[in-house]
Amino acid sequence: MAVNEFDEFRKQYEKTFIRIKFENTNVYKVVNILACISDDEKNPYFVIHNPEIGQCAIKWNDTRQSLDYSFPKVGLFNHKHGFLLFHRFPERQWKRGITSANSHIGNPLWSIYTRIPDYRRLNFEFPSITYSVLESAFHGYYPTNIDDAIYEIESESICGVCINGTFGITKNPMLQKEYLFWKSLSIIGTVDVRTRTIEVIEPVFRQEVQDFLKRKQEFDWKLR
Amino acid sequence: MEIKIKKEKQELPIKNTAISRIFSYKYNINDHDNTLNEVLDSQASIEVDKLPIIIDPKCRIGIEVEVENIPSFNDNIMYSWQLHDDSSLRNNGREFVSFPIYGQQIPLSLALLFTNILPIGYDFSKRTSIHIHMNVRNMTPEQVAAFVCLFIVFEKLLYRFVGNNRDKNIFCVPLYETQISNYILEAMNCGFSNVRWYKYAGLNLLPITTQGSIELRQLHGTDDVSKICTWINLLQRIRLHAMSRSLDDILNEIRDLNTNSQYDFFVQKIFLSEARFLSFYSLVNDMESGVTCVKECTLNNKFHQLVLSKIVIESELVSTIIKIQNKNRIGKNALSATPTEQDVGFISVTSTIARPENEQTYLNNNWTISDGPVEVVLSPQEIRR
Repeated sequence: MAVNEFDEFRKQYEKTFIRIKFENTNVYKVVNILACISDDEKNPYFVIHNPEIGQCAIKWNDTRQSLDYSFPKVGLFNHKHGFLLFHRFPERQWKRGITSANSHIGNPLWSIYTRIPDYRRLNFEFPSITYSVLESAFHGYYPTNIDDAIYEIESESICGVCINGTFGITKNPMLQKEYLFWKSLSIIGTVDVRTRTIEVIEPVFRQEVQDFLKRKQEFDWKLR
Repeated sequence: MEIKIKKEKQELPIKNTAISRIFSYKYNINDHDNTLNEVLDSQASIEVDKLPIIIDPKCRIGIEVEVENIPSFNDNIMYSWQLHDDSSLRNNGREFVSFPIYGQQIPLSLALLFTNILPIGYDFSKRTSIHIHMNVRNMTPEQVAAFVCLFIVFEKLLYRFVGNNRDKNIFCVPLYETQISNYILEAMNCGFSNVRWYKYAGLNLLPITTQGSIELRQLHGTDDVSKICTWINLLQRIRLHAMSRSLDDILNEIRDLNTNSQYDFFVQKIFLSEARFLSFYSLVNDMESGVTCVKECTLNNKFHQLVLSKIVIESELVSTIIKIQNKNRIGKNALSATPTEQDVGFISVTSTIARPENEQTYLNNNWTISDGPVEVVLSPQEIRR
């Protein structure tokens, strides 16, 4: 075993998140690499943690093929009561696994939180990189169409849903009944369920929305 | 009596002032020209005819070549190169940095480095890369912003040209994977003097203030002079287009692309003969996201501002937010998803690995080790740390 390779692994991935494929379930799970131990040069191992499986030590030699070092896809993803934005961050550091030094989670609704009267009392916390956030980002669940997205927003206690990695819909923070249509972190239009119309107020994104409706085959939604 | 009206000399806005007039640089880029030309011309051992042609002979380029396995090298003929230390490299790694060279000095200097300066056995490992510094002292901040916008449009195509999975590298992160391009207009309006940017972005604007150049970090380590020169030519094509039109014209061209779908035409128009080096395989997908990214980072979103100014507590969104927040007050992580005790809580799992001989390291770290198969248990404080 090349100790150098394990040493590189330690430098680049210790105290970061990666994904491991577990044999019994055959699915990838996000784990935090707590420590890499190479005192026994023939059989180095690393200690991982995940809320579901707890904490365990894993042999390096046997599991190298099961490790996935990739980042989640950059863009919007649904998480708990709304949607968040995953993007990379080019800061100087050695870590290649996912960590707050090279990845950021943005909350599109943050600009709205800060405008709510007495918002400090509500104790919002800035989104950060955790197991559950990363699982959501990797899993990338999106409703199949706009109607499903609206249904989810209406039937559950959630603020909004993203329909793909680019567009999202939220309830309205103004008194109007229309939903808001988002592109990444920006509000670009409204969604009127009664007239089944998406109004793109920012004209530069009209073509993108039109392409989106066409690709999603949302033919009964009109674009204004 | 003739009345003379004294016209006040109107100062140009900073975005239209040459970068060289905004910053003062210690280093004069012409310093080495005469000696370089003489010395490089005398390199009979290099077959000049076979070297690639640089399309913009006036554009000065600085090249940083990182290379490993250099225990020694021929330092008598460094001419256009200087040696810098680079702690990121292993195995006797060195960084060779060129003076600001131009025209045929570029391929000649590269050929000189690879054939005469570096020892046999030099290694371009995955840790090495080649960074191109492009002179922008004669450009205005507006032209630099136009360069950045055009670069974003073609960024995926350019990473595809470079290859080697460089888009996944943490030392040259693509702009389309970050949000930093949102700062480009703000940076332009302050003449790049207080630019919010990051060195490890694939396109690094920070050297504008110190060297009068922008750094392009995408290229992997290679001794392929043709590839390096083609890469430089591709960048120079973008630069030439950025300098030939106003930013508004370029932005209008870009904004129209998603409507008229003339991506192919646009690539040909900018890169001319160099377009043949770019992959047209997934052109629409590659360019669509770049175009959208430029739209986003140059948009003054008035509608978003309007919504923010009219937020009311009785609205559906705000009441939902408050409801969720109150419901999860104990958990705290309803919307923000920050780590909590529940997230970090752990169960210790006995692993199947053999007991290592040296346990001192773990004991020093206050970890518990049981008899038999090793069971590594960290305290929650340790985990958080």
